[in-house]
Amino acid sequence: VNTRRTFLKSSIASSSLISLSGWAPGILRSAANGSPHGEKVLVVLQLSGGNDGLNTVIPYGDDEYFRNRFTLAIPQSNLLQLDNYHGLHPSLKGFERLWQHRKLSIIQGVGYPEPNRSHFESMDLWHTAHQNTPSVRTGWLGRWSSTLPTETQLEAIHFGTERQPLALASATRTALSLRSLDTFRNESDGLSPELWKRIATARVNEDSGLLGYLQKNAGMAWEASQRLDRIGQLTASGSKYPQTELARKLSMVSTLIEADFPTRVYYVAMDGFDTHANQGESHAGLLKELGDAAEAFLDDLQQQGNGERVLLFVFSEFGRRLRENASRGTDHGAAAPVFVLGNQVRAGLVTRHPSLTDLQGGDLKHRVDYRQVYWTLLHQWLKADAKAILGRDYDPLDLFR
Amino acid sequence: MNQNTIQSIGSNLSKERAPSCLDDIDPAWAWQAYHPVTDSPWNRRRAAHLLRRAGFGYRWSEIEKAVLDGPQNSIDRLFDFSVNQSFDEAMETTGQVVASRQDARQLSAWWLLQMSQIPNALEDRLTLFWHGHFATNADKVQDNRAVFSQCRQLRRLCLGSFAELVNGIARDPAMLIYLDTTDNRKTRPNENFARELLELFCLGPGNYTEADLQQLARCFTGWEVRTGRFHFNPHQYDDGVKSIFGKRERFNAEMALGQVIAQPACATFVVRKLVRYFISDELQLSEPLLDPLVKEFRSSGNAVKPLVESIFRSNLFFSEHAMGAKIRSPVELAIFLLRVLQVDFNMLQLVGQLESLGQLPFFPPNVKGWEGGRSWINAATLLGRNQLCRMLVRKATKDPRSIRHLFPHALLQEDSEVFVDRLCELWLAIAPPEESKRLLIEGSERFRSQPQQRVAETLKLLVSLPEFQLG
Repeated sequence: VNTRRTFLKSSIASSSLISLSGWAPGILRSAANGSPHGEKVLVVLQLSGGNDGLNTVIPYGDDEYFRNRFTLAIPQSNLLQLDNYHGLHPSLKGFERLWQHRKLSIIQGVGYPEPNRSHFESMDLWHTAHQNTPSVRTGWLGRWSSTLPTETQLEAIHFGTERQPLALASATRTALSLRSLDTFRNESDGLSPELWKRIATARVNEDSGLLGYLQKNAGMAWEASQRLDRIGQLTASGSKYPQTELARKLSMVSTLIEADFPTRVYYVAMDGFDTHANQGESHAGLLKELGDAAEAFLDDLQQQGNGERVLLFVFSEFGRRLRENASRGTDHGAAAPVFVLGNQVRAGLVTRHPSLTDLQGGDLKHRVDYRQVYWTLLHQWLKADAKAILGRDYDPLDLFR
Repeated sequence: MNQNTIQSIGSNLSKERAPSCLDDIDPAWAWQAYHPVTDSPWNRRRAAHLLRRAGFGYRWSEIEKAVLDGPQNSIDRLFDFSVNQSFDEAMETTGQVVASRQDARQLSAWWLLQMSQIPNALEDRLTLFWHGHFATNADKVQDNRAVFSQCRQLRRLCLGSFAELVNGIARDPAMLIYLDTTDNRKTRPNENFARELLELFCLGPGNYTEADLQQLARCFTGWEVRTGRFHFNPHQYDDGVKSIFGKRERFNAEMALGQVIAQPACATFVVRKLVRYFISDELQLSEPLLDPLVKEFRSSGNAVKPLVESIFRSNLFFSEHAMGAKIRSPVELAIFLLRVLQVDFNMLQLVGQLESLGQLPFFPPNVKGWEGGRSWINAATLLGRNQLCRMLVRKATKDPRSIRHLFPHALLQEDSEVFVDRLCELWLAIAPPEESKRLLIEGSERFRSQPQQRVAETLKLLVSLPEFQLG
């Protein structure tokens, strides 16, 4: 590990030095000015589609659960018991081990008033933190990046081929989206990178329109290519990750963390949680992918010596209805658990499970506003001005040791 | 054209030159028919704009013909599909064979081939629009015949009435499978289809309540898919009284769909989305601006063809508000090059590339379809788009004969300044800045005496311009 780490550092340093003579390379300058080592990193994992919280952290101590989940209930004998009321879905063995190692905090019943049951609307609320500005839509993490004193263009990185999450949108900064670490490796296709850069960024004073947007992204692509060029070749040596898409993304995050990238927020998404029909098997598969990848990721960080400075935060746009539907699935619901994982968390359950009888339109009522979670992450983990980012103060949660 | 129209065009020319004053667009002017005047002449640039938006791309000769024929005749010709007939028949047969195979990506390749070669591509342009609107993902459907037949249905109805489209898609097996409503029982109706119908297909958020939605869901009980076909199961149908949009009646599914489409929000929702698709990603489409078109759409019984025709014929369509005001989708970008360069390319390879750029037909990211606009672009996709374009140019310019076939002899004889100008005019909606143009001219000059390398070098640079990302 040490050898790999040293090599990464030296290769980045040399590629930076070569390029410093070039054109305003903000990233490279900041990389040369000192590594951000020791700064806290937040990894956000979005479960898209509305994860069934009730079959993830299972209130097996309440008969109402079994009464409403006639075919989908997980029998007590199969689930992974956390205490005499809660159990994890049997596919979440990875989470169970993290729970035993005191690295998993489960915040129960997270939601917001007047729940919106549209995927897109609810996801937008989670992304913007209910801050509706009609002209420029910004996300909670995008606004966080705007508060940072110097622009590196690598404040936040999104791994995935889906559109960049609104959460990262900022009025002043642009986040980077990557498919893989070799995305920006210079391929020789007859156009030198220097000439491409000249062509792609030739316009001046064009900042708000589509051309300005294109040009800004071209500039970022150029900078990222300079920076990522060597790292892409080293991905194969990562630790033992399962062969899944989520694990692949988290292993790339880990590679960049190990390489002391100045990035402090990473964003990955996993789709498929919209389980309206025959959810049993598909949900089990999704949770297995989630638990196993999270465990491998945290183990990898531990081995690197970065366990203390990285936090994994897992959320979904809503939970699902208590009563299952006639297609052996569940419809869109409201409150659901979110997960915070890492060496620094205060492991355990935060707040009681929402009541299964005091419902709102058939759905669980929230006990924790998701903006309390954001406030705590921003203020206590990223050491940012949470009030400025969220528009007001929220009651913090007891998430950290 | 009467005198008033001319005056109204004249009075709006200043606005046309300043697209930033978006609030100033006069709705009446916007939707009046465009007639060439000095400040917005009918020329190669506008002809190319029309053929790009209505059809993906064009041959050199098609632009010259459109310039001679004028806007009215050129637009008339967009709706003449008789030229497609024999091609359509051949593709239908091929499509059925491809749909019987396991791999749905072959079906994507089939459609891309059709888009790149069909003589008149407007139907495919619209089918792609409706496919994004009534998004269905083949990975989840796991029945390629159903996916194929949905695509054919959308294509058949693409210019018909919106009500017919919605009624067709409501009973479409691929859609029902995609939305998990293949087995919808009255005791606990599955809400998914009703939700997407209101939110994404017909009205948009904010135009219905959760109660409307739950009542509507009851109307679709008893709907099933059996052995790949739509099936109504009367035993599972809830025939009770439902209360939808303030009306209490024993609504069945067909009546309920009629109620939804009759909502005032529906026409505005559909018109806005089509205007966005054909005119501009970011223009503020306020209700007053859309109003004339919405009224026309309603009074035609929600007919799509007259709506699309009005959009193409309008002042707004040919104004600077629209020229280059859209970021090309990955499919539009690739099909443009395949059509203008007439390059023979392995479509299965293209499938992989388009997938990584974020738009593969039959594989929309979710039920909302492709968001479009700026969401197509980030640092990674921009680089990938550039690489794809340069690869297609490289392939197309390898053969000296194809160069002579693609470009008129006279053009290849022009000096570099004219040569570059002409290519920019045809390939770009917005002229590049002088510095970029100079780089293109330098590239062209380097191979002044070798036509093949000259075209290859100039086009390679041209497709790398940010302006080329706009369509």
